[in-house]
Amino acid sequence: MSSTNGPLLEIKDLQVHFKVYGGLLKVIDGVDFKVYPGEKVGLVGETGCGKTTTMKSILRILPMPPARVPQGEIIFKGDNILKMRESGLHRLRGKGISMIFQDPTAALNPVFTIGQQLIPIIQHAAGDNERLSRRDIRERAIKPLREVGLADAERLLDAYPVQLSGGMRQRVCIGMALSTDPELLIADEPGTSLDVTIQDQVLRLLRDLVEQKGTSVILITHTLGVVREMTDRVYVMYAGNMVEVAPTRKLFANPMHPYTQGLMAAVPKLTGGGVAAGIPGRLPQYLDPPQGCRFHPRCPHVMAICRRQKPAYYHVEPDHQVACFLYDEQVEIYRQEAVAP
Amino acid sequence: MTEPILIVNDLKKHFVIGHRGLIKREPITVKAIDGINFDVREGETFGLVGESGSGKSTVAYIAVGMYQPTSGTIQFRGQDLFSNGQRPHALKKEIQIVYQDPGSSLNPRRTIQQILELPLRIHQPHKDHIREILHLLEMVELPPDYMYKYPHMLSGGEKQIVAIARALATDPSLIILDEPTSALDVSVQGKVINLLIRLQREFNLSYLFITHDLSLMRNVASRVAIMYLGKIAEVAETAEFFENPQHPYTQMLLSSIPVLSEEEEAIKPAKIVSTGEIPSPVNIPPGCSFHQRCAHVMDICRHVDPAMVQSDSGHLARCHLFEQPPDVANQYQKETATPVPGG
Amino acid sequence: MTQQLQLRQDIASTMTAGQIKQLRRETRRENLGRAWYKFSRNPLSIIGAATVLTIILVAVFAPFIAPYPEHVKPFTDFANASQPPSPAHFFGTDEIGRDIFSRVLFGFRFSLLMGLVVLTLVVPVGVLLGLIAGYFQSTWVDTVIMRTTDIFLAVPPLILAMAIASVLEPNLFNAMIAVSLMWWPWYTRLVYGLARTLRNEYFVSSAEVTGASTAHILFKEILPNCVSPIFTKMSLDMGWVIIIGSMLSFVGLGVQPPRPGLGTMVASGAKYVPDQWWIAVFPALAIVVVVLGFNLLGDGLRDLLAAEGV
Repeated sequence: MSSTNGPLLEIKDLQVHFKVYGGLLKVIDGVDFKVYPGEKVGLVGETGCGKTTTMKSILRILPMPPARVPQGEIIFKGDNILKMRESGLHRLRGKGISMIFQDPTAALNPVFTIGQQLIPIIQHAAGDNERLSRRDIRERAIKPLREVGLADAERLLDAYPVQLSGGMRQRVCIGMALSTDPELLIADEPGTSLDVTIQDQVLRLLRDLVEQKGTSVILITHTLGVVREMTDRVYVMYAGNMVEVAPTRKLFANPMHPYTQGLMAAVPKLTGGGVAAGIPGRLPQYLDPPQGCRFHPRCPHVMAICRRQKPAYYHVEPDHQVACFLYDEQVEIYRQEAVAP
Repeated sequence: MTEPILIVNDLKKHFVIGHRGLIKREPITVKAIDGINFDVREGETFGLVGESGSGKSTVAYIAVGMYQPTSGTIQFRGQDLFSNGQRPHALKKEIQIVYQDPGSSLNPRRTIQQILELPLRIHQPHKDHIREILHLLEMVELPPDYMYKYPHMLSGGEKQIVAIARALATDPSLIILDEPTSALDVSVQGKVINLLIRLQREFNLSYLFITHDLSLMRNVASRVAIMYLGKIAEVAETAEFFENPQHPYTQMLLSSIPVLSEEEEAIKPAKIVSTGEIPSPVNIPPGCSFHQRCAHVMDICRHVDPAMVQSDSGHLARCHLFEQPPDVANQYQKETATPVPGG
Repeated sequence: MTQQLQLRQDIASTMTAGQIKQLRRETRRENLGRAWYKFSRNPLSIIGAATVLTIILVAVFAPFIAPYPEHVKPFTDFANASQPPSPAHFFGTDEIGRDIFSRVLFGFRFSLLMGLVVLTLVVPVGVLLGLIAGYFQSTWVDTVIMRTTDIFLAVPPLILAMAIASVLEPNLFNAMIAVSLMWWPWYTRLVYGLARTLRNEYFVSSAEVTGASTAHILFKEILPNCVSPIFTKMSLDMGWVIIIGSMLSFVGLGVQPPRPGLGTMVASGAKYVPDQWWIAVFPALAIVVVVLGFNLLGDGLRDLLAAEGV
């Protein structure tokens, strides 16, 4: 899992703000994140918690006004992506790091054939030096389609996205993203728009492919079940902060952060038992986020210090960290403080 | 035994989506629903499960009056819903629907107050609507200052709650919930579902609950039916459905659900990997529509569509694995001139 | 913020009428503020709005601002004819001695009037037909309305306008009729496309199954979602109508001399270019300014009215 060679991608203390009517949306509030080579990392959080924003900042595809990155570093193989020039980014996108988006129908241009969309990617990957003949390129384009289990790949090159089913489109997107042999793949909710049985197939395929190629994956999702089956390590995100990180099995066996616990309790169980009430309240307004820990207004275990200060990461175990004062050594003292309304 | 509030009898809905050939012009038909029967009892939550193409949403749209059936009937408290063309106003108020996507079920250019006022204005033309609206917001636990907000200012869960309030505005007896929480995060889902449960108790509502999320269905419905390509494959009481699934499709679906705990893994049927795509309702395979993906396929399945048979009290399944009535068996014999297996 | 919400929950149905009015006022104020923010992001939109506002004020108050208001009536002063621009006459005088600046100010009146009248006639009719045809898509209503629209659209617009204007007596009023007859189909077509898509939205189905009348659905559910493209088109159309009106005047079918229509002034001044260039150029520039102002305003309106996304 963790390589002794250090992380492939590391995000250090990233902050992202958006300028809007009324002021500044302080969405990402100091995020740390690491992915090691060959690792599958999950990023879990509800809609609006900032996971897609964080991932888009990695590839720098956020709209730069209104977005701003006042602070932070994103280091990929030793280079800070935030400081790269356009030429470096051009080499990075699609080749070093690839991305799959949530809705494969929206990700594929309906007026071009699959081949017309895949071939430029192959060319980009081959670099500007290699000149490939038309036949060579088509050969190379068929390969990723076969890899994702699409029979009749040759004919598919000339098909339009609308002729394919949802599952096939998602496979095409996966094929396109992996065709350039990237070192890191970012998958944003890859199965959400598909039926359960098809999602199951597609995610299995994704897992098999990345294990075969040794690609690192960041899997973003709000579905805990998918995380459990697909990842080695999980980050839990809330309102622009990472609140917990642990190896997958440990996270599910022993969730530590009150938010993680709330999320797991909220998932209906196949064994019955009713539907839990969910987590009361809603995500904070990023215009005026709560002081201290951003989760404190909704936390069942809130203490006075939670309202004043942001918790640091506590290592409950060497590979299991929580950002919560409940795990501070001085927690008893904190509990004594009167909880002011 | 409580009375049924809704009885669906041999309902069929076929859509003609085009024509084949220049001269003959044969219609291309989508058999979205091809003969289904079920009933919803007063005060219960009846669950309808299925993947895309199963026809479950079409059932909802017909029940609420958006489509006319091709054949078959739906009766609401003994009254045929489709006897006279236009559905009478009184029935429109009794059956309401909450749609799947809160983003498009609320008009983005109208305020919450305007959205909630419409059903009130139609069915209670002369009352003070502002008070009613405030009362509705209170019932669904939304703050009063949401009245003059636009939908885009609300979160997904809140929008869906407004859609529920809108459905409640006409004081209905039956609410059809078409994937009410599929577009929402799991942390909000609980809030919405518990709200629905509370409202059901308070107002003695009946629900037709449609979803593809089997784990959710387990905890919400009292009886469950699963649909595949326009037909019901299996119906049972909830606990029975999940602990003892009979139809191979049900078993396949249950085995694919991602779950969180070991105990849940234990009650899932053994993993059946689904192969191939879901066939589209335009090209329904002959015989049993599931036979191409079925692990237990027999020759009869390729030729004859099974009938729904009772395997236990209240537990029905449509599959050749269970003893079929004689006319079905005879049909197979006629088609293939083979004696029916098992006599 | 969450605490505020908790508190207000229990005063729901005990809210007084006064509190409700207050709530409404506050929300309206906030919506206006947000609208201004969206509009003002682009400085060009503000320039457009300011330009249009200025022109409207100028047109309305022309009799008081113009230094020589009597020059718009029949007037001659051959002693001062064809004078170049000077402090006494900002835009110079024309070939019979009239102050061009004053005439241009009054000229804005005709332009704005043209745009206003045409759009007032065209927009309600065109939009209504588009709504009806779109909602009753694929029925005979749709066919009748849209084929009629197609027929009108098939005729080259300027030629149609000229044909109509020359059959009728040439004056501003008839020019407006001519332009209106060729303009309405564009709105029908625009709204038809929008209405066709919108009728399949779930909020329309919801209104239908609850029993809303067709009128309600057309005007209260579908139309509000068409507002943005309609208003944007209207402000751009102001520019177009003014140009076409000016073109008609230029060929003698619109505003008749001695009235100071901008196009008419360009026509009569055209033969003096390039020696007494100011007689034609200033009215032409005035047309440019009006049209540009409305175009920029249109861009701003589009930003303003764009439906809120996520």
